[in-house]
Amino acid sequence: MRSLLLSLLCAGSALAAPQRVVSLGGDLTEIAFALGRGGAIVAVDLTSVYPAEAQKLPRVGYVRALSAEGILAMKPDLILASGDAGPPEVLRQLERAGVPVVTLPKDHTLAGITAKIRAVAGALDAKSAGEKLAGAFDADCRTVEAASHAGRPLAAVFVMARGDGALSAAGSGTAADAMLAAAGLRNVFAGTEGYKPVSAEMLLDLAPAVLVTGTRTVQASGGLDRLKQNPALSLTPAVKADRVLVFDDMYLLGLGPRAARAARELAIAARR
Amino acid sequence: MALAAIAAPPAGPPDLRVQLRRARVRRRWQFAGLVALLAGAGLAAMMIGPMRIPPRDLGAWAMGRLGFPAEPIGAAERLVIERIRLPRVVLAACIGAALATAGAAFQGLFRNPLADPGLIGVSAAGALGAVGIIVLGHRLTPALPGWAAPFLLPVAAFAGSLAAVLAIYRVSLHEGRPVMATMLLAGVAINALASAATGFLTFLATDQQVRDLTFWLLGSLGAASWPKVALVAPGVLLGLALLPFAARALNALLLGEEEAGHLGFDVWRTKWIVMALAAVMVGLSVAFAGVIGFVGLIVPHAIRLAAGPDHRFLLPASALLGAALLVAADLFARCIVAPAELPIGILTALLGAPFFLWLLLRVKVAWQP
Amino acid sequence: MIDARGIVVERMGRPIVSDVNFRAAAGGITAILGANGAGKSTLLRVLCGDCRPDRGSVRYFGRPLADWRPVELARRRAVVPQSSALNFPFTVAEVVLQGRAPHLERGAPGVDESAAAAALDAVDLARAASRDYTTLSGGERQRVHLARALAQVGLDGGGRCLLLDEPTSSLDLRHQHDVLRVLRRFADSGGCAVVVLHDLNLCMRYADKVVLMHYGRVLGSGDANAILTPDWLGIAYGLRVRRIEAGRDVLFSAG
Repeated sequence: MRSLLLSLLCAGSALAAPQRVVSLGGDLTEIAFALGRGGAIVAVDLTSVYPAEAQKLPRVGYVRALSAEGILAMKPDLILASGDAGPPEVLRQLERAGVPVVTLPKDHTLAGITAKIRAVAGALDAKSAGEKLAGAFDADCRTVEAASHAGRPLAAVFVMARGDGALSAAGSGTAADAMLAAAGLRNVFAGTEGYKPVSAEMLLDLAPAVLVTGTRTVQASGGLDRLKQNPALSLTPAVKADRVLVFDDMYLLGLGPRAARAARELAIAARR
Repeated sequence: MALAAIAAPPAGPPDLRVQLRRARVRRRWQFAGLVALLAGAGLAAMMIGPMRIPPRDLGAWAMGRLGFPAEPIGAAERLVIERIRLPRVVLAACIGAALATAGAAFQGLFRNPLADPGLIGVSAAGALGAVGIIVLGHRLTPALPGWAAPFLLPVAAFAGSLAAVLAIYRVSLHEGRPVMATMLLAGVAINALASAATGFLTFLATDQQVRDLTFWLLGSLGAASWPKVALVAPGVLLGLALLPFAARALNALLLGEEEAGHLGFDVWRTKWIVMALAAVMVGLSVAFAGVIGFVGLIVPHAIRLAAGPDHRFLLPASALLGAALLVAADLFARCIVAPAELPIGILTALLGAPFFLWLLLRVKVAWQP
Repeated sequence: MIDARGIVVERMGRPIVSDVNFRAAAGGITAILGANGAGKSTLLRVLCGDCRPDRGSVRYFGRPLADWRPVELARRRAVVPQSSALNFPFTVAEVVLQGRAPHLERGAPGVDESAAAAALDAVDLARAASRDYTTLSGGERQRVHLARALAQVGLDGGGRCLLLDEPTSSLDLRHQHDVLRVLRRFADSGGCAVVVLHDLNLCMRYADKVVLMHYGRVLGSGDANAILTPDWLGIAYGLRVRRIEAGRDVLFSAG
């Protein structure tokens, strides 16, 4: 009798493990795959580009402009939503359709990632894998500290460029700012909020010793050399000393399970 | 003899009364055609979507709703039909009708077939109001009761549109009468001012907000819901119901302001009523669906090309065609890149511009002797 | 019928119309004549109510202009502008039927159509009823607007007024005379027609009364035969005008 109940409970929990998950956030998708639950994901948003398997899944569009019917058409039994997901009406409609929506609040810090991993693991019924992943992540974080506290904090900037040469720099409240801080770098644009256009004069005045950017920016600028020749950048100490670090955008800014490794890599590369 | 043959008038066309009766009959058919078009677009929009719902289920749902015995349908299908597709179709129809009718009204008022709500700054000012709330609204919300927060954006957009119309009107007053040329120029100035202010707000905005703005400015019906329909529909229906009463006066205004006065119309009052109603309709549309271009320009044009500029036909016909156009455009927006969707403003331009060109081409051919 | 007293219109401190008294009686055609810039059109605009005079008053049928409800006045008075801004593709019939706007839902069924048809016939446009207004020539457009006014106040003018600003300016010879014969009929049946004219010969032949304007003032007014003399015209136009009497006809020639 007791064993029957147990087996029923097990069957119940096996049923409870979501089989058709729509993941709305690159970090959440990445965590789900890292937990070994990638197979349960049936659709993702546009920011879910890692791992490569995720790119083969149907896209439900930009995370701020979702369509309720489009998502429901995937017949999901769980929706993992980042804090960015919207519009709110659509999330409400999804909830009303009886689909559990797990929303992970926005947190632009490395420390928040551990909690995020645990929350996703809980929602995907992968608690033990979640503990393992969280433990591994915490261990990575400690190696970051070791790498980032060597020497004095360097002045750094993260820039993003459009094709026409206009540059924006990451201010506070961005993933880039969190990564610079984690790597023990001082973000010279910490005083501004979000991404803001920058001018040559401003950059020269702030004199960053390290310039960090993403592969997409390099592509949009027509190559690293072209980017370095940008008048706003060419005279900065960072470019003159050739301390320009290029990272894969999602790797550096995804704030997923790889974030600690990315921060460590950034810390080491910046001080080389 | 030859002279007499030339001087003899050719056989005359039918009596004026017969001609007018024929025109009335033709318009009745055209109107019926537009009703059918809207019904068809609405039905298609209810049946087609990323979620596959068999027509049988839709029929069963409709029968059940109408109180006939029908087999029950799945909860998910029911939800998609009732809570997602139907409010969306109704909202699209309301906003399409509002934009097209307001466009027709402004064009009559300004005696300019290009006077689109977009052109004279009414949409841009509505957008400014909305952008202001998106960017700065979080500073206002703590001071307001909780229930008021969702109304903030629509009210601001509506206020922006109305303010633009009032400003244009005030600026263009000359010796107590609005001068149309000044009115259009004032519209251009308001447009520039509103766009600049919107640009400035975009600069103040955070990243997240900028991306929201971009999508919002392209227009979307993605967040349609019954509460939104309940907010939009009364204002739109008010405009649709009252504007036709100004149809004869708008016809006379096309002859000129003074001519309209000589025909016994109260020109000043007509202008005020038409402007206020059109501003309400544009403001509500901008507030709930962002900036959706082309509808207010193309729809009245198409109706005029097919049936002439008589506002008694133009206003209701534009409402029907505008509603049908936006319902169809939204259907495409939902389906082309499903499960994601396109901003509808992109689609109205994609659907509307070639249609407009085709009409122009047709007219050019028809005008050749 | 129309009585204006002490009309003064100033623009930027300069008088355009100074102290004009004007009367137009029922049963006659009153022509306003004068050189360019003499104030003819301004005076007509004051009479219409389009231009509010700085001083003076206008009365229709003894009642001040301001006391008329627009629709009430529109039933008894029509105005034909020199040209119209209409650039929307109404059919000719639709434009003419607009003249019936102040009368709608007052007459028996079909009255509006009959009035429009008669008006179109009177200006020789019966066969153009279904044409697009925007494809018409200038002269045809002018006649459409006259037909609109005639649909408004009727071909027979008992107790009604018709004001026209240079209605013949774009017309060929035959249609010029057609238009003035229409006015003649309107006046003969008791209507009051006021018309700004340039053509001295048409004026001599059709006008009952002439008001000759010069620099914003009335130089002279009265019977056409008495006013249209080489002396008066010489002052009004600053040009020697010869008056040639040929039997019953009187012709004018410049120089």
